[in-house]
Amino acid sequence: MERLLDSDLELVVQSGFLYLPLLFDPAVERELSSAPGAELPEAGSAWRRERVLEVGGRHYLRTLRLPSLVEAYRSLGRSHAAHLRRTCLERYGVPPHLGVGGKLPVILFQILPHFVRTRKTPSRRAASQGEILAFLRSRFSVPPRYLEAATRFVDTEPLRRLIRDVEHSGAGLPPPGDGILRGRDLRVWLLRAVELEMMRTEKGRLEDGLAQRERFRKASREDLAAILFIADQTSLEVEGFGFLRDGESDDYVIYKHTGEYALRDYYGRLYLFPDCRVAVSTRGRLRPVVLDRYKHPFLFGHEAGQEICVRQFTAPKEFSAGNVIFALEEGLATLYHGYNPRLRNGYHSLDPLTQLRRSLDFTDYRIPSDYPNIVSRKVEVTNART
Amino acid sequence: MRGRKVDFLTEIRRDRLKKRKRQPFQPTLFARISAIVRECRLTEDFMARLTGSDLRLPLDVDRIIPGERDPLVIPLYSLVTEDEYRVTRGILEKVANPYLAYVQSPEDILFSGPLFARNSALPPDRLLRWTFQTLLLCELAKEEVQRLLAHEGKGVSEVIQKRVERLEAFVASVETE
Repeated sequence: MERLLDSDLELVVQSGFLYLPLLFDPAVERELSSAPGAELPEAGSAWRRERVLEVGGRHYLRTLRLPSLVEAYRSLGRSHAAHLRRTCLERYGVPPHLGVGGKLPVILFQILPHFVRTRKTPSRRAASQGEILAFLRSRFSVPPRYLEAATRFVDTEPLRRLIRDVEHSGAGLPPPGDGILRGRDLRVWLLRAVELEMMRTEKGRLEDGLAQRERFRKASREDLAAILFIADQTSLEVEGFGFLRDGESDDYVIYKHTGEYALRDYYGRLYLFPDCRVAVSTRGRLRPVVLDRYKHPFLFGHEAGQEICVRQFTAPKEFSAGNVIFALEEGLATLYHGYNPRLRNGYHSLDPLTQLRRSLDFTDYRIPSDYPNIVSRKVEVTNART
Repeated sequence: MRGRKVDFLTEIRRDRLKKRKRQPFQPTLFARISAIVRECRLTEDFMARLTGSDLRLPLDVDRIIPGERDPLVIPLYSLVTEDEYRVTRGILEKVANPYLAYVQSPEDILFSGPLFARNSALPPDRLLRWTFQTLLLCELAKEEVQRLLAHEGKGVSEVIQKRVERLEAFVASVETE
Protein backbone atom coordinates (compact mmCIF):
# COMPACT_ATOMS: atom_id res chain seq x y z
CA MET A 1 0.00 0.00 0.00
CA GLU A 2 2.80 2.39 0.94
CA ARG A 3 4.54 1.64 -2.37
CA LEU A 4 1.34 2.39 -4.22
CA LEU A 5 0.88 5.71 -2.42
CA ASP A 6 4.49 6.68 -3.09
CA SER A 7 4.32 5.92 -6.80
CA ASP A 8 3.33 7.90 -9.86
CA LEU A 9 1.06 5.07 -10.95
CA GLU A 10 -2.14 6.22 -12.61
CA LEU A 11 -5.23 5.16 -10.67
CA VAL A 12 -8.88 5.83 -11.36
CA VAL A 13 -11.49 6.94 -8.86
CA GLN A 14 -15.10 6.34 -9.78
CA SER A 15 -18.16 6.53 -7.51
CA GLY A 16 -16.01 6.38 -4.37
CA PHE A 17 -14.15 3.27 -5.50
CA LEU A 18 -10.47 2.98 -6.26
CA TYR A 19 -9.64 1.28 -9.56
CA LEU A 20 -6.11 -0.04 -10.08
CA PRO A 21 -4.50 -0.85 -13.44
CA LEU A 22 -5.57 -4.33 -14.50
CA LEU A 23 -2.71 -6.80 -14.78
CA PHE A 24 -2.68 -8.98 -17.83
CA ASP A 25 -1.87 -12.47 -18.94
CA PRO A 26 -3.36 -14.37 -21.88
CA ALA A 27 -6.21 -15.74 -19.73
CA VAL A 28 -7.18 -12.25 -18.54
CA GLU A 29 -7.13 -10.96 -22.09
CA ARG A 30 -9.30 -13.86 -23.23
CA GLU A 31 -11.74 -13.11 -20.44
CA LEU A 32 -11.91 -9.44 -21.41
CA SER A 33 -12.47 -10.06 -25.08
CA SER A 34 -14.56 -13.22 -24.85
CA ALA A 35 -17.28 -13.49 -27.43
CA PRO A 36 -20.97 -13.29 -26.43
CA GLY A 37 -22.43 -16.67 -25.65
CA ALA A 38 -19.22 -18.02 -24.26
CA GLU A 39 -19.02 -19.23 -20.67
CA LEU A 40 -16.79 -16.34 -19.70
CA PRO A 41 -18.42 -12.98 -18.95
CA GLU A 42 -19.17 -11.12 -22.12
CA ALA A 43 -17.68 -7.78 -23.07
CA GLY A 44 -20.67 -5.58 -22.20
CA SER A 45 -22.00 -7.61 -19.29
CA ALA A 46 -22.80 -6.27 -15.84
CA TRP A 47 -19.75 -8.09 -14.48
CA ARG A 48 -17.53 -6.07 -16.79
CA ARG A 49 -19.35 -2.81 -16.14
CA GLU A 50 -19.03 -3.16 -12.39
CA ARG A 51 -15.52 -4.43 -12.04
CA VAL A 52 -13.50 -3.38 -15.06
CA LEU A 53 -13.32 0.17 -16.29
CA GLU A 54 -11.85 1.33 -19.57
CA VAL A 55 -10.35 4.81 -19.42
CA GLY A 56 -8.21 6.19 -22.25
CA GLY A 57 -7.78 2.75 -23.79
CA ARG A 58 -6.51 1.26 -20.55
CA HIS A 59 -8.26 -1.17 -18.26
CA TYR A 60 -8.69 -0.65 -14.54
CA LEU A 61 -9.97 -3.10 -11.95
CA ARG A 62 -12.24 -2.11 -9.07
CA THR A 63 -10.49 -2.71 -5.74
CA LEU A 64 -11.31 -0.77 -2.56
CA ARG A 65 -13.98 1.62 -1.36
CA LEU A 66 -12.18 4.80 -0.41
CA PRO A 67 -14.12 5.30 2.86
CA SER A 68 -13.15 1.72 3.85
CA LEU A 69 -9.52 2.54 3.15
CA VAL A 70 -9.78 5.58 5.45
CA GLU A 71 -11.39 3.48 8.21
CA ALA A 72 -8.77 0.73 7.93
CA TYR A 73 -5.77 3.02 7.67
CA ARG A 74 -5.17 3.03 11.45
CA SER A 75 -4.80 -0.75 11.39
CA LEU A 76 -2.82 -0.86 8.15
CA GLY A 77 -0.10 1.53 9.26
CA ARG A 78 -0.19 1.58 13.05
CA SER A 79 3.02 3.48 13.68
CA HIS A 80 2.27 6.02 10.96
CA ALA A 81 -1.29 6.45 12.25
CA ALA A 82 0.04 7.06 15.80
CA HIS A 83 2.43 9.70 14.45
CA LEU A 84 -0.41 11.27 12.48
CA ARG A 85 -2.57 11.42 15.63
CA ARG A 86 0.19 13.16 17.59
CA THR A 87 0.65 15.69 14.79
CA CYS A 88 -3.09 16.27 14.60
CA LEU A 89 -3.46 16.79 18.35
CA GLU A 90 -0.57 19.24 18.32
CA ARG A 91 -2.08 21.18 15.41
CA TYR A 92 -5.46 21.56 17.10
CA GLY A 93 -3.91 21.99 20.56
CA VAL A 94 -5.74 18.96 21.97
CA PRO A 95 -3.98 17.53 25.07
CA PRO A 96 -3.32 13.76 24.82
CA HIS A 97 -4.74 13.30 28.35
CA LEU A 98 -7.67 15.23 29.69
CA GLY A 99 -6.86 14.92 33.36
CA VAL A 100 -8.74 12.29 35.31
CA GLY A 101 -9.65 8.92 33.85
CA GLY A 102 -12.99 7.24 34.51
CA LYS A 103 -11.65 4.56 36.86
CA LEU A 104 -9.65 6.77 39.21
CA PRO A 105 -12.68 8.39 40.95
CA VAL A 106 -14.12 4.90 41.55
CA ILE A 107 -10.86 3.75 43.13
CA LEU A 108 -10.48 6.88 45.25
CA PHE A 109 -14.04 7.40 46.44
CA GLN A 110 -15.48 3.89 46.52
CA ILE A 111 -12.72 1.28 46.86
CA LEU A 112 -10.21 3.14 49.02
CA PRO A 113 -12.69 3.91 51.88
CA HIS A 114 -13.48 0.19 52.12
CA PHE A 115 -9.88 -0.69 52.99
CA VAL A 116 -8.61 2.50 54.64
CA ARG A 117 -10.11 4.28 57.63
CA THR A 118 -10.43 7.84 56.40
CA ARG A 119 -12.03 9.25 59.59
CA LYS A 120 -10.72 9.21 63.10
CA THR A 121 -14.08 8.38 64.70
CA PRO A 122 -16.12 5.41 63.49
CA SER A 123 -19.35 6.30 61.71
CA ARG A 124 -22.10 4.41 59.91
CA ARG A 125 -22.29 7.09 57.24
CA ALA A 126 -20.07 6.57 54.21
CA ALA A 127 -17.23 9.07 53.93
CA SER A 128 -17.95 11.92 51.52
CA GLN A 129 -15.64 12.82 48.65
CA GLY A 130 -14.54 15.91 50.52
CA GLU A 131 -13.62 13.88 53.61
CA ILE A 132 -11.66 11.36 51.55
CA LEU A 133 -9.77 14.10 49.74
CA ALA A 134 -9.05 15.88 53.02
CA PHE A 135 -7.67 12.61 54.36
CA LEU A 136 -5.52 12.15 51.26
CA ARG A 137 -4.28 15.74 51.41
CA SER A 138 -3.16 15.10 55.00
CA ARG A 139 -1.02 12.19 53.75
CA PHE A 140 0.92 14.00 51.04
CA SER A 141 1.55 17.56 49.99
CA VAL A 142 0.17 18.71 46.66
CA PRO A 143 2.64 20.90 44.72
CA PRO A 144 1.30 24.46 44.09
CA ARG A 145 1.34 24.03 40.32
CA TYR A 146 -1.63 21.64 40.67
CA LEU A 147 -3.67 24.51 42.16
CA GLU A 148 -3.10 26.43 38.94
CA ALA A 149 -3.92 23.30 36.96
CA ALA A 150 -7.18 22.99 38.93
CA THR A 151 -8.15 26.54 37.95
CA ARG A 152 -7.53 25.72 34.31
CA PHE A 153 -9.34 22.40 34.67
CA VAL A 154 -12.67 23.90 35.74
CA ASP A 155 -12.51 26.50 33.00
CA THR A 156 -14.33 24.53 30.31
CA GLU A 157 -14.34 27.29 27.67
CA PRO A 158 -11.04 26.29 25.95
CA LEU A 159 -12.31 22.72 25.69
CA ARG A 160 -15.63 23.88 24.25
CA ARG A 161 -13.73 26.02 21.74
CA LEU A 162 -11.62 23.03 20.83
CA ILE A 163 -14.72 20.90 20.25
CA ARG A 164 -16.16 23.63 18.03
CA ASP A 165 -12.88 23.76 16.04
CA VAL A 166 -12.89 20.02 15.60
CA GLU A 167 -16.55 20.09 14.54
CA HIS A 168 -15.80 22.71 11.91
CA SER A 169 -12.73 20.92 10.61
CA GLY A 170 -14.34 17.50 10.58
CA ALA A 171 -17.25 18.34 8.32
CA GLY A 172 -16.20 15.38 6.18
CA LEU A 173 -14.00 15.20 3.13
CA PRO A 174 -15.71 14.14 -0.07
CA PRO A 175 -13.92 11.47 -2.13
CA PRO A 176 -11.70 12.85 -4.88
CA GLY A 177 -13.53 13.56 -8.11
CA ASP A 178 -14.06 10.78 -10.64
CA GLY A 179 -11.15 10.38 -13.01
CA ILE A 180 -7.48 9.59 -13.20
CA LEU A 181 -5.37 10.21 -10.09
CA ARG A 182 -1.71 9.58 -9.35
CA GLY A 183 -0.61 7.51 -6.32
CA ARG A 184 0.99 10.54 -4.66
CA ASP A 185 -2.18 12.62 -5.08
CA LEU A 186 -4.19 9.82 -3.51
CA ARG A 187 -1.84 9.87 -0.51
CA VAL A 188 -2.50 13.59 0.03
CA TRP A 189 -6.25 13.00 -0.01
CA LEU A 190 -6.01 9.87 2.15
CA LEU A 191 -3.93 11.54 4.88
CA ARG A 192 -6.35 14.45 5.05
CA ALA A 193 -9.31 12.07 5.26
CA VAL A 194 -7.62 9.97 7.98
CA GLU A 195 -6.82 13.15 9.91
CA LEU A 196 -10.46 14.24 9.83
CA GLU A 197 -11.58 10.76 10.86
CA MET A 198 -9.19 10.92 13.81
CA MET A 199 -10.50 14.30 14.85
CA ARG A 200 -14.04 12.92 14.80
CA THR A 201 -12.90 10.25 17.28
CA GLU A 202 -11.09 12.87 19.33
CA LYS A 203 -14.28 14.88 19.47
CA GLY A 204 -15.94 12.07 21.41
CA ARG A 205 -13.02 12.01 23.83
CA LEU A 206 -13.17 15.78 24.24
CA GLU A 207 -16.89 15.62 24.99
CA ASP A 208 -16.28 12.97 27.65
CA GLY A 209 -13.58 15.19 29.15
CA LEU A 210 -15.97 18.12 29.15
CA ALA A 211 -18.66 16.12 30.95
CA GLN A 212 -16.08 15.06 33.54
CA ARG A 213 -15.00 18.64 34.13
CA GLU A 214 -18.61 19.64 34.61
CA ARG A 215 -18.89 16.97 37.31
CA PHE A 216 -15.84 18.30 39.17
CA ARG A 217 -16.95 21.90 38.89
CA LYS A 218 -18.47 21.96 42.38
CA ALA A 219 -15.35 20.54 44.05
CA SER A 220 -13.06 22.97 45.88
CA ARG A 221 -9.86 24.08 44.19
CA GLU A 222 -7.73 22.23 46.77
CA ASP A 223 -9.69 19.00 46.31
CA LEU A 224 -9.45 19.24 42.55
CA ALA A 225 -5.70 19.93 42.80
CA ALA A 226 -5.36 16.78 44.92
CA ILE A 227 -7.29 14.71 42.33
CA LEU A 228 -5.17 16.08 39.46
CA PHE A 229 -2.01 15.38 41.47
CA ILE A 230 -3.10 11.78 42.12
CA ALA A 231 -4.10 11.35 38.45
CA ASP A 232 -0.60 12.43 37.48
CA GLN A 233 1.07 9.83 39.69
CA THR A 234 1.99 6.40 38.36
CA SER A 235 1.49 4.89 41.82
CA LEU A 236 -0.03 5.79 45.16
CA GLU A 237 -0.12 4.02 48.50
CA VAL A 238 -2.01 4.96 51.67
CA GLU A 239 -2.20 2.84 54.81
CA GLY A 240 -1.49 -0.47 53.08
CA PHE A 241 -3.82 0.23 50.17
CA GLY A 242 -2.56 1.47 46.85
CA PHE A 243 -2.67 1.33 43.10
CA LEU A 244 -0.26 1.38 40.15
CA ARG A 245 -1.23 2.90 36.82
CA ASP A 246 -0.86 0.58 33.84
CA GLY A 247 1.19 2.72 31.44
CA GLU A 248 -0.63 5.68 29.89
CA SER A 249 -3.98 3.92 29.87
CA ASP A 250 -6.92 4.27 32.26
CA ASP A 251 -6.17 0.84 33.75
CA TYR A 252 -4.84 0.25 37.24
CA VAL A 253 -3.45 -2.50 39.43
CA ILE A 254 -5.20 -2.05 42.79
CA TYR A 255 -3.61 -3.74 45.76
CA LYS A 256 -3.82 -4.23 49.50
CA HIS A 257 -1.00 -5.29 51.80
CA THR A 258 -1.63 -8.43 53.84
CA GLY A 259 0.71 -7.47 56.66
CA GLU A 260 2.34 -10.22 58.70
CA TYR A 261 0.12 -13.14 59.75
CA ALA A 262 0.64 -16.65 61.04
CA LEU A 263 -0.83 -20.01 60.03
CA ARG A 264 -1.02 -23.17 62.11
CA ASP A 265 -0.16 -26.63 60.71
CA TYR A 266 -1.56 -30.10 61.55
CA TYR A 267 0.69 -30.42 64.61
CA GLY A 268 -0.16 -26.93 65.92
CA ARG A 269 3.18 -25.44 64.90
CA LEU A 270 3.13 -21.83 63.76
CA TYR A 271 4.41 -20.35 60.50
CA LEU A 272 4.95 -16.60 60.17
CA PHE A 273 4.05 -15.33 56.67
CA PRO A 274 5.67 -12.06 55.58
CA ASP A 275 3.78 -9.11 54.16
CA CYS A 276 2.79 -9.17 50.50
CA ARG A 277 0.51 -7.25 48.18
CA VAL A 278 -2.70 -8.90 46.95
CA ALA A 279 -3.71 -7.15 43.76
CA VAL A 280 -6.41 -6.99 41.10
CA SER A 281 -5.82 -5.55 37.66
CA THR A 282 -8.64 -3.60 36.03
CA ARG A 283 -7.48 -4.88 32.64
CA GLY A 284 -9.42 -8.05 31.83
CA ARG A 285 -11.04 -10.27 34.45
CA LEU A 286 -10.66 -9.21 38.07
CA ARG A 287 -8.48 -12.06 39.43
CA PRO A 288 -6.66 -11.75 42.76
CA VAL A 289 -2.89 -12.21 42.39
CA VAL A 290 0.16 -11.65 44.57
CA LEU A 291 2.35 -8.82 43.29
CA ASP A 292 5.50 -9.85 45.16
CA ARG A 293 7.53 -13.05 45.16
CA TYR A 294 5.63 -15.15 47.65
CA LYS A 295 4.92 -18.69 48.74
CA HIS A 296 1.75 -19.98 50.37
CA PRO A 297 -0.23 -23.23 50.33
CA PHE A 298 -2.71 -21.57 47.94
CA LEU A 299 -0.06 -20.43 45.47
CA PHE A 300 1.39 -22.88 42.99
CA GLY A 301 4.98 -21.70 43.02
CA HIS A 302 7.29 -19.24 44.71
CA GLU A 303 7.35 -16.23 42.43
CA ALA A 304 5.73 -12.85 41.77
CA GLY A 305 2.45 -12.34 39.93
CA GLN A 306 0.86 -15.69 40.83
CA GLU A 307 -2.90 -16.07 40.78
CA ILE A 308 -4.33 -17.05 44.16
CA CYS A 309 -6.27 -20.31 44.10
CA VAL A 310 -9.66 -19.20 45.45
CA ARG A 311 -12.37 -21.81 45.98
CA GLN A 312 -15.73 -21.40 44.24
CA PHE A 313 -14.77 -18.05 42.81
CA THR A 314 -15.54 -16.76 39.32
CA ALA A 315 -13.48 -13.72 38.50
CA PRO A 316 -15.84 -10.83 37.63
CA LYS A 317 -15.54 -9.42 34.12
CA GLU A 318 -16.77 -5.89 34.71
CA PHE A 319 -14.91 -3.18 36.52
CA SER A 320 -16.92 -1.81 39.43
CA ALA A 321 -16.11 -0.89 43.00
CA GLY A 322 -18.09 -3.88 44.31
CA ASN A 323 -16.35 -6.36 42.00
CA VAL A 324 -12.85 -5.08 42.82
CA ILE A 325 -13.56 -5.15 46.57
CA PHE A 326 -15.02 -8.66 46.23
CA ALA A 327 -11.97 -9.97 44.32
CA LEU A 328 -9.49 -8.37 46.73
CA GLU A 329 -11.38 -9.62 49.78
CA GLU A 330 -11.54 -13.14 48.36
CA GLY A 331 -7.80 -13.13 47.68
CA LEU A 332 -6.96 -11.83 51.16
CA ALA A 333 -9.38 -14.20 52.86
CA THR A 334 -7.87 -17.16 51.04
CA LEU A 335 -4.37 -16.27 52.22
CA TYR A 336 -5.53 -15.61 55.81
CA HIS A 337 -8.17 -18.26 56.38
CA GLY A 338 -8.10 -20.65 53.41
CA TYR A 339 -5.65 -23.19 54.79
CA ASN A 340 -7.17 -25.95 56.90
CA PRO A 341 -4.42 -27.81 58.83
CA ARG A 342 -6.48 -30.99 59.18
CA LEU A 343 -7.39 -31.15 55.48
CA ARG A 344 -4.00 -29.83 54.30
CA ASN A 345 -5.91 -28.21 51.40
CA GLY A 346 -4.37 -26.05 48.69
CA TYR A 347 -1.43 -26.82 46.43
CA HIS A 348 0.97 -27.45 49.31
CA SER A 349 0.99 -28.61 52.92
CA LEU A 350 2.67 -26.55 55.65
CA ASP A 351 4.03 -29.61 57.47
CA PRO A 352 6.28 -31.70 55.21
CA LEU A 353 4.60 -34.80 53.83
CA THR A 354 6.31 -37.89 52.42
CA GLN A 355 9.38 -37.32 50.29
CA LEU A 356 7.56 -38.58 47.20
CA ARG A 357 5.06 -35.73 47.17
CA ARG A 358 6.51 -32.57 45.68
CA SER A 359 5.76 -29.57 47.79
CA LEU A 360 7.16 -26.20 48.70
CA ASP A 361 9.06 -26.11 51.96
CA PHE A 362 7.68 -23.76 54.64
CA THR A 363 10.05 -24.72 57.48
CA ASP A 364 11.90 -21.41 57.10
CA TYR A 365 8.65 -19.64 58.13
CA ARG A 366 8.30 -21.72 61.30
CA ILE A 367 8.26 -19.76 64.60
CA PRO A 368 7.99 -20.88 68.25
CA SER A 369 4.59 -20.67 69.92
CA ASP A 370 5.94 -18.04 72.35
CA TYR A 371 7.04 -15.76 69.51
CA PRO A 372 6.81 -12.18 70.95
CA ASN A 373 4.51 -10.74 68.27
CA ILE A 374 2.16 -13.72 68.66
CA VAL A 375 2.10 -13.40 72.40
CA SER A 376 1.52 -9.64 72.18
CA ARG A 377 -1.18 -10.29 69.50
CA LYS A 378 0.54 -8.01 67.03
CA VAL A 379 0.50 -10.92 64.63
CA GLU A 380 -2.66 -12.96 64.44
CA VAL A 381 -2.93 -16.69 63.78
CA THR A 382 -5.51 -16.42 61.04
CA ASN A 383 -6.44 -20.10 60.66
CA ALA A 384 -6.74 -20.86 64.36
CA ARG A 385 -10.46 -21.68 64.07
CA THR A 386 -10.42 -23.77 60.88
CA MET B 1 -8.92 -65.76 -20.62
CA ARG B 2 -7.50 -65.51 -17.09
CA GLY B 3 -4.03 -64.52 -18.36
CA ARG B 4 -5.54 -61.81 -20.52
CA LYS B 5 -7.42 -60.39 -17.54
CA VAL B 6 -4.14 -60.13 -15.59
CA ASP B 7 -2.50 -58.36 -18.53
CA PHE B 8 -5.37 -55.93 -18.69
CA LEU B 9 -5.07 -55.14 -14.97
CA THR B 10 -1.31 -54.70 -15.25
CA GLU B 11 -1.86 -52.38 -18.14
CA ILE B 12 -4.31 -50.26 -16.13
CA ARG B 13 -1.87 -50.08 -13.24
CA ARG B 14 0.97 -49.09 -15.55
CA ASP B 15 -1.15 -46.37 -17.13
CA ARG B 16 -2.18 -45.00 -13.76
CA LEU B 17 1.41 -44.99 -12.53
CA LYS B 18 2.44 -43.10 -15.63
CA LYS B 19 -0.30 -40.55 -15.06
CA ARG B 20 0.62 -40.19 -11.41
CA LYS B 21 4.25 -39.46 -12.20
CA ARG B 22 4.96 -35.83 -11.46
CA GLN B 23 6.06 -33.64 -14.30
CA PRO B 24 8.23 -30.63 -13.47
CA PHE B 25 6.30 -27.42 -13.89
CA GLN B 26 7.59 -25.34 -16.76
CA PRO B 27 6.82 -21.64 -16.98
CA THR B 28 5.04 -20.73 -20.19
CA LEU B 29 6.67 -18.89 -23.06
CA PHE B 30 4.57 -15.88 -22.11
CA ALA B 31 6.02 -15.94 -18.56
CA ARG B 32 9.59 -16.11 -19.95
CA ILE B 33 9.21 -13.25 -22.42
CA SER B 34 7.21 -11.10 -19.99
CA ALA B 35 9.94 -11.61 -17.37
CA ILE B 36 12.52 -10.23 -19.82
CA VAL B 37 10.21 -7.36 -20.79
CA ARG B 38 9.69 -6.43 -17.15
CA GLU B 39 13.31 -6.94 -16.07
CA CYS B 40 14.79 -4.94 -18.97
CA ARG B 41 11.87 -2.48 -19.18
CA LEU B 42 11.35 -3.08 -22.89
CA THR B 43 9.02 -0.73 -24.71
CA GLU B 44 7.48 -0.38 -28.15
CA ASP B 45 10.90 0.85 -29.41
CA PHE B 46 12.22 -2.65 -29.01
CA MET B 47 9.46 -3.87 -31.33
CA ALA B 48 10.81 -1.52 -33.99
CA ARG B 49 14.23 -3.16 -33.65
CA LEU B 50 12.63 -6.55 -34.23
CA THR B 51 11.19 -5.44 -37.55
CA GLY B 52 14.29 -3.43 -38.46
CA SER B 53 16.86 -4.21 -41.10
CA ASP B 54 19.14 -7.23 -40.97
CA LEU B 55 21.37 -7.46 -37.93
CA ARG B 56 25.02 -7.14 -38.72
CA LEU B 57 27.53 -8.75 -36.40
CA PRO B 58 31.18 -7.85 -37.02
CA LEU B 59 33.19 -11.05 -37.16
CA ASP B 60 36.35 -9.57 -35.69
CA VAL B 61 38.53 -12.59 -35.02
CA ASP B 62 40.75 -10.82 -32.51
CA ARG B 63 37.87 -9.59 -30.37
CA ILE B 64 35.53 -12.56 -30.30
CA ILE B 65 35.03 -13.79 -26.74
CA PRO B 66 32.47 -16.56 -26.17
CA GLY B 67 29.83 -15.15 -23.81
CA GLU B 68 28.07 -17.33 -21.26
CA ARG B 69 24.71 -16.43 -19.82
CA ASP B 70 23.64 -14.68 -16.64
CA PRO B 71 20.82 -16.69 -15.09
CA LEU B 72 17.34 -15.19 -15.48
CA VAL B 73 14.72 -15.82 -12.81
CA ILE B 74 11.43 -16.66 -14.48
CA PRO B 75 8.29 -16.54 -12.33
CA LEU B 76 6.00 -19.55 -12.39
CA TYR B 77 3.05 -17.31 -13.24
CA SER B 78 3.18 -13.89 -14.76
CA LEU B 79 0.87 -10.92 -14.59
CA VAL B 80 2.06 -7.75 -16.30
CA THR B 81 0.81 -4.25 -16.91
CA GLU B 82 -1.09 -3.45 -20.05
CA ASP B 83 1.96 -1.87 -21.73
CA GLU B 84 4.21 -4.78 -20.85
CA TYR B 85 1.54 -7.18 -22.06
CA ARG B 86 1.35 -5.37 -25.41
CA VAL B 87 5.14 -5.59 -25.87
CA THR B 88 5.18 -9.26 -24.83
CA ARG B 89 2.39 -10.13 -27.25
CA GLY B 90 4.18 -8.23 -30.01
CA ILE B 91 7.41 -10.16 -29.43
CA LEU B 92 5.57 -13.48 -29.39
CA GLU B 93 3.82 -12.63 -32.65
CA LYS B 94 6.86 -11.28 -34.49
CA VAL B 95 9.51 -13.69 -33.26
CA ALA B 96 7.85 -17.03 -33.72
CA ASN B 97 10.64 -19.59 -33.65
CA PRO B 98 11.39 -22.54 -31.33
CA TYR B 99 14.54 -20.89 -29.94
CA LEU B 100 12.37 -18.31 -28.20
CA ALA B 101 11.86 -20.90 -25.45
CA TYR B 102 15.56 -20.48 -24.50
CA VAL B 103 15.99 -16.72 -24.64
CA GLN B 104 17.17 -14.95 -21.51
CA SER B 105 17.82 -11.38 -22.63
CA PRO B 106 16.58 -8.84 -25.19
CA GLU B 107 19.68 -9.57 -27.34
CA ASP B 108 18.73 -13.24 -27.37
CA ILE B 109 15.30 -12.27 -28.66
CA LEU B 110 16.87 -10.17 -31.42
CA PHE B 111 19.34 -12.87 -32.49
CA SER B 112 16.98 -15.85 -32.14
CA GLY B 113 15.47 -15.31 -35.63
CA PRO B 114 18.76 -15.09 -37.59
CA LEU B 115 20.20 -17.94 -35.53
CA PHE B 116 17.24 -20.22 -36.25
CA ALA B 117 17.42 -19.29 -39.92
CA ARG B 118 21.09 -20.36 -40.08
CA ASN B 119 20.92 -23.47 -37.92
CA SER B 120 17.61 -24.89 -36.75
CA ALA B 121 19.11 -27.96 -35.10
CA LEU B 122 21.11 -26.58 -32.19
CA PRO B 123 20.93 -28.81 -29.10
CA PRO B 124 19.07 -27.37 -26.05
CA ASP B 125 22.09 -27.53 -23.71
CA ARG B 126 24.08 -25.33 -26.09
CA LEU B 127 21.16 -22.89 -26.36
CA LEU B 128 20.97 -22.73 -22.59
CA ARG B 129 24.69 -22.26 -22.04
CA TRP B 130 25.73 -19.64 -24.62
CA THR B 131 24.26 -16.30 -25.50
CA PHE B 132 22.52 -16.28 -28.86
CA GLN B 133 25.03 -13.68 -30.05
CA THR B 134 27.88 -16.14 -29.43
CA LEU B 135 25.98 -18.92 -31.18
CA LEU B 136 25.21 -16.67 -34.13
CA LEU B 137 28.87 -15.63 -34.34
CA CYS B 138 29.76 -19.30 -34.27
CA GLU B 139 27.47 -19.98 -37.23
CA LEU B 140 28.89 -16.95 -39.08
CA ALA B 141 32.42 -18.18 -38.32
CA LYS B 142 31.61 -21.58 -39.79
CA GLU B 143 30.22 -19.95 -42.92
CA GLU B 144 33.28 -17.70 -43.15
CA VAL B 145 35.67 -20.65 -42.85
CA GLN B 146 33.85 -22.48 -45.64
CA ARG B 147 33.83 -19.37 -47.81
CA LEU B 148 37.51 -18.66 -47.28
CA LEU B 149 38.57 -22.23 -47.96
CA ALA B 150 36.38 -22.46 -51.10
CA HIS B 151 37.53 -19.10 -52.42
CA GLU B 152 41.25 -19.60 -51.89
CA GLY B 153 41.31 -23.21 -53.12
CA LYS B 154 44.58 -25.03 -52.52
CA GLY B 155 46.92 -22.07 -52.40
CA VAL B 156 45.93 -20.50 -49.09
CA SER B 157 47.94 -17.50 -48.03
CA GLU B 158 49.47 -17.36 -44.58
CA VAL B 159 47.16 -14.54 -43.41
CA ILE B 160 44.05 -16.40 -44.52
CA GLN B 161 45.37 -19.58 -42.94
CA LYS B 162 45.81 -17.76 -39.63
CA ARG B 163 42.26 -16.33 -39.78
CA VAL B 164 40.80 -19.73 -40.56
CA GLU B 165 42.65 -21.25 -37.60
CA ARG B 166 41.36 -18.63 -35.25
CA LEU B 167 37.79 -18.98 -36.48
CA GLU B 168 38.01 -22.76 -36.14
CA ALA B 169 39.37 -22.41 -32.61
CA PHE B 170 36.43 -20.16 -31.70
CA VAL B 171 33.93 -22.63 -33.21
CA ALA B 172 35.59 -25.49 -31.35
CA SER B 173 35.44 -23.62 -28.02
CA VAL B 174 31.69 -23.13 -28.42
CA GLU B 175 30.80 -26.56 -29.83
CA THR B 176 32.95 -28.72 -27.53
CA GLU B 177 31.37 -29.19 -24.13
